[in-house]
Amino acid sequence: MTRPTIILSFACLLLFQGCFQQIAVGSLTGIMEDGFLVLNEESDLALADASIASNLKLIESVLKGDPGNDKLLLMACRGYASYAMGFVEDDDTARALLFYRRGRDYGLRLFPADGALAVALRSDPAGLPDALRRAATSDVPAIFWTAVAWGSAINLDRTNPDALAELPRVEAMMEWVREKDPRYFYGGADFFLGTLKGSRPAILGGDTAASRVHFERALELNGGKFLLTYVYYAKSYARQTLDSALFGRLLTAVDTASIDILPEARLSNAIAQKKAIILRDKINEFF
Amino acid sequence: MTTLTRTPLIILGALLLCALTASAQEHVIKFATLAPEGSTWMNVMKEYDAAIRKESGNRLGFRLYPSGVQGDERDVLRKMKLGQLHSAGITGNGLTTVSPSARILDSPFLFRDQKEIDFAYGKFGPELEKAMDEAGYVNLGWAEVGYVYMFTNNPVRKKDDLSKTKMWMWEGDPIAEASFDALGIHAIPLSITDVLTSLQTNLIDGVYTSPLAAIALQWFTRVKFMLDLPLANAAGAVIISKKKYLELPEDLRTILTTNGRKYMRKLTELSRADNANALTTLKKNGITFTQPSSEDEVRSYAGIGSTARRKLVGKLYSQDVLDRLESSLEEYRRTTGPAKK
Repeated sequence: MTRPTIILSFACLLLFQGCFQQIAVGSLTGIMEDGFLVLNEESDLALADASIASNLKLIESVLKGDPGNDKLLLMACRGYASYAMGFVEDDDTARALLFYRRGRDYGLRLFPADGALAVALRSDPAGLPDALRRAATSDVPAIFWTAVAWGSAINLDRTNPDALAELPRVEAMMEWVREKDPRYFYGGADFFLGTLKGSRPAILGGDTAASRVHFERALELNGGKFLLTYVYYAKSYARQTLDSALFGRLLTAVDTASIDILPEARLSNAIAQKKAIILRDKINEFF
Repeated sequence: MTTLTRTPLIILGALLLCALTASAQEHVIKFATLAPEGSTWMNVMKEYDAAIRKESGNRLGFRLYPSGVQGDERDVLRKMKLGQLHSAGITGNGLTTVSPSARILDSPFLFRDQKEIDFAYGKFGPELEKAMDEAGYVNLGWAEVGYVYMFTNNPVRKKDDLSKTKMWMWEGDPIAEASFDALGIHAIPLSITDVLTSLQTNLIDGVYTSPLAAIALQWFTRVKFMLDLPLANAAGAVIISKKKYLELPEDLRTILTTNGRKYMRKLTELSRADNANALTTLKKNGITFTQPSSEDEVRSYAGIGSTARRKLVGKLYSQDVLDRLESSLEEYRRTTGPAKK
């Protein structure tokens, strides 16, 4: 074989390998997206726990080879935030904080590094209102899940002034989602804002009246079928206003609902039922 | 022993066990604070609770109500009067109600550094606690909120710059009123819940608070400058109603007060660290720190502090305690030399 032929063959091989890798990543991304849907329908918490943990590592492995893959970045962001909320936070807040931060960091990678949104979110919060005004409806999932992961990380890091200083950015992101697509993720923006405004006294910036409006709207948007809404309504608003009767009613709504009430969110609803039991055990501590 | 005689003994044993279990739940101290779950205040209160439970063999413990769920400090003190709550973490507002004289340690431009603060609490703390005791409260430990700074939208380098500021004043706060009066500021009294909106609408363009609170309340997003000279050092304390305190057996009182001192000191140190970190965060977030333009300017603030403190004589504390506090601090300064921030 002549030298040019060897070089040509080697180049073809590299090209082929690159294509193959792209095809493989493309197929994997599709499989993982399907896997995500299947996982959301799972009702067995132990099986879901084990599957999500290994899937997250798989997503990260594939991301190593394709670091700019938006679908995978979104899955990693959403996956880490959801896993921390559903399976870690109630037992180990330090570990949950780690996962929420990881979710936030994957989420932030969804915004082009030199774009207005990335710059505003990372270092120029004054520019955030403008950057959000220019964002498109197609940005809703990225902004929503990044805000969920980021806000949840701040919630577990309340002694850290740097983290607290980032909360206005998260609130602005979620207000934007609420305006742009209030129905996204079962009224997720209202659910999140209800929790945020209902977990603090007015003197520290909370607003329980607004919190109640957000939760009621979220329930209206999801038809009362996304059970985590009731859990966080109880945990934030009902606790903050010392309304033990409402607390009990909200948790009973979770306990008595069928797990199949919303098949595509069976896992979230199973998590809600687990959390409702934990929360009910604290009734004497809260009221 | 026959079965018949054994059975009543078993029942008696079970009853005794029940009685012991019941007594273990007798000494629950219901405590309320504005501090949110997960904050340094609440983290230390949980450690305090764990320590008294352990030392008392679980006979004594707190039930903690964080995040203002029991209302603001006035609501909480009212509930303490009614016996619905027993204990609270209080700051300026609450202290004014419980024992106005304690607010002498909140007065403006009084301290030059944290060593002076510790000295003053050491020397005058017991006297101020006695006044609390007479008002029906036992102080379980001082826990300062920390240095309070002025945050503005225009740079303040000279005292005259302040006169142009539309400064917020927490309505009904005598210390702020006396301080701003002495500074020549026409302050605008508003509820704390209206501050953020009023900064947004430019009704006010100046506020005062601790660095950590400036971040937690999101006020830092609406101001540009901070005068790097503390207006005051805000006090705080954990108190228990004397009625509840006296209901406790003596050994439990000792456990409660000994640990109170220990954990509130820890809280003070952690709050100082939190505020130091918060200053760094504020700088990172674009707040410019301004310095008084000269040493004369610094001295003039000290003079303003002296004037303001005199305006509060008879309202919060006596001339006698003010004179003794000021002369003790002067004596302390003579023996320790220049202040360290």
